[in-house]
Amino acid sequence: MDEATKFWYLFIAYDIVWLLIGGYVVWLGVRQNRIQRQIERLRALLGEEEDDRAEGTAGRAS
Amino acid sequence: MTRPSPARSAARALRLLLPVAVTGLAVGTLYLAFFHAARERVMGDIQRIFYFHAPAGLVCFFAFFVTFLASIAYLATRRPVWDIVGRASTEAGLLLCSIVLLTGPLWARPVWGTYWTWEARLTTTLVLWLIYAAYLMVRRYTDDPDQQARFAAVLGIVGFLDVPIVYWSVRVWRGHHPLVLKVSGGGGLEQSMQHAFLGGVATYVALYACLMMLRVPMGRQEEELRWLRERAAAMRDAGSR
Amino acid sequence: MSLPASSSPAARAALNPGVLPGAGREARKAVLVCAKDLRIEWRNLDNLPAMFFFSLLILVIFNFAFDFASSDFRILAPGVLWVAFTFAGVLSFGHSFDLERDADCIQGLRIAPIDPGSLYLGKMMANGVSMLLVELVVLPLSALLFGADLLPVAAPLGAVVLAHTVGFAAVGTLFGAMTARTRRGDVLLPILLFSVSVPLMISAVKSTSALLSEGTLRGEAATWLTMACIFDVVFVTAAYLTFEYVLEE
Repeated sequence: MDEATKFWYLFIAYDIVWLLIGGYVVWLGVRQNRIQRQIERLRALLGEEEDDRAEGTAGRAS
Repeated sequence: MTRPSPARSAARALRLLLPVAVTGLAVGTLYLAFFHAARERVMGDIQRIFYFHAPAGLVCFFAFFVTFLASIAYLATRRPVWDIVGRASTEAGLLLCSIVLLTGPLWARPVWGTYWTWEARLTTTLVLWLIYAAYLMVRRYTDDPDQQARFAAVLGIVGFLDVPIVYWSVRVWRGHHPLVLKVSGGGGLEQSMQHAFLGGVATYVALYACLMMLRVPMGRQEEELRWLRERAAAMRDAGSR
Repeated sequence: MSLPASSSPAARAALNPGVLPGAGREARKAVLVCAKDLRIEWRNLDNLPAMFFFSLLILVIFNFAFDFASSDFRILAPGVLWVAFTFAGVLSFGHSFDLERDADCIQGLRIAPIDPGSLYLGKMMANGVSMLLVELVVLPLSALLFGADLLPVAAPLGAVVLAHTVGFAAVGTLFGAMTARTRRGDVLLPILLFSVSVPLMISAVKSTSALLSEGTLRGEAATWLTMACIFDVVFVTAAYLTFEYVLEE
């Protein structure tokens, strides 16, 4: 195997390191956004209903 | 609803700082790996993947050790935060484990001519990957959150106890054949190689901290979301009655 | 409970848990759980025939996959046999806790005055005995199929089989209890079992093949047997201690 091919292996190996880390971080971000959106929507929903019932305790998970 | 407390703003500052630190360390290690470290005599330049391969394995073990401790802490105290820490650490560990498993063959191919050798450390890493992937699967398939946390904690303990036994058995299984790699641990490394290796370890430790920093608050939010969903469901039931 | 006056104190103690010290009492409860499971199995034969049939089928399938007649028994048999035994074991581990789901029996066990660890040991023994029964029939059968003579190594082979069966039952029972209460538990159980028991699988195959080729337990087989015993001790202890968290509602 010549040196140039060897360098290709090295290059791909390094790429995989960055891709995996980047992929996981992006996946975390996507999930984070989705959770955030759902929390906000549910909070708004629950807040309205609570206003209707005049229950003033806006809740947070302990 | 949430007012920024000192702790919160410190956490925010850390959250901004850590990714910068990780990037800086990674760039620094890249420099050390490619320009500072001596060229390996036998393997040549391809050996330079070592500085991002071996430290990943090291920190991956550390991550699973954290899972083990968090699992014990969860069963002892039943505080949800330990469950979240265990899960976050497992995910980070599995990521590092995947890096080891994918870069290993790409290094082995040009050097030994095969992608995979059933070498003790590589095989142990593969088994670890399987165990902790199973850990995440159990979490996925368990619906009740408390049950999920308890099952995961038991697996976090049992899985880690398995590690030394796996390593020992794989070593005896392959016989004591000469290790092709003499570069383990850093003891037998040349000075300049050691620098790059330590740089790699620092990078991955910072990355691990950074990922935990992202994942643990997310776990708390997941918990809040679950709680909100339960409330919404309860309210819907009350409304329809 | 009325006892004949002639019975020895030991026999009386064995029959009446009240007079035994703590550890012995728990051990007896474990035996009771084991006996209960085996009695249920004996009465309705729900699982053992399936285990026999399944492991037999694996032997047959592997025969077509590898062609036993033209290969060395000592090289091929250990792997094939342990795959057959452990796959049969999976059936037992899964069934062991499905059994308790009917009519919510697990609830009864949970509130019974029995230590979760003892319950685990009882279940593990029942699973182990089921596996051993299968092995007792499949081993001679495989000797016939492979055309090999196992009689000279029967005793050491028994020790090897027992040590590894205990290990598989130890891990399998813990995971069986866990996966019985998850979605897709039937899928999760083998995934968990076979990833954690990798070292045990290696030592099972290696010790069996060392025994078959060398004919004694000395040398390589002894190393592997030691490893299996360490695995047994570590995982029986770990499962004994953590079983209460798995059982908890």
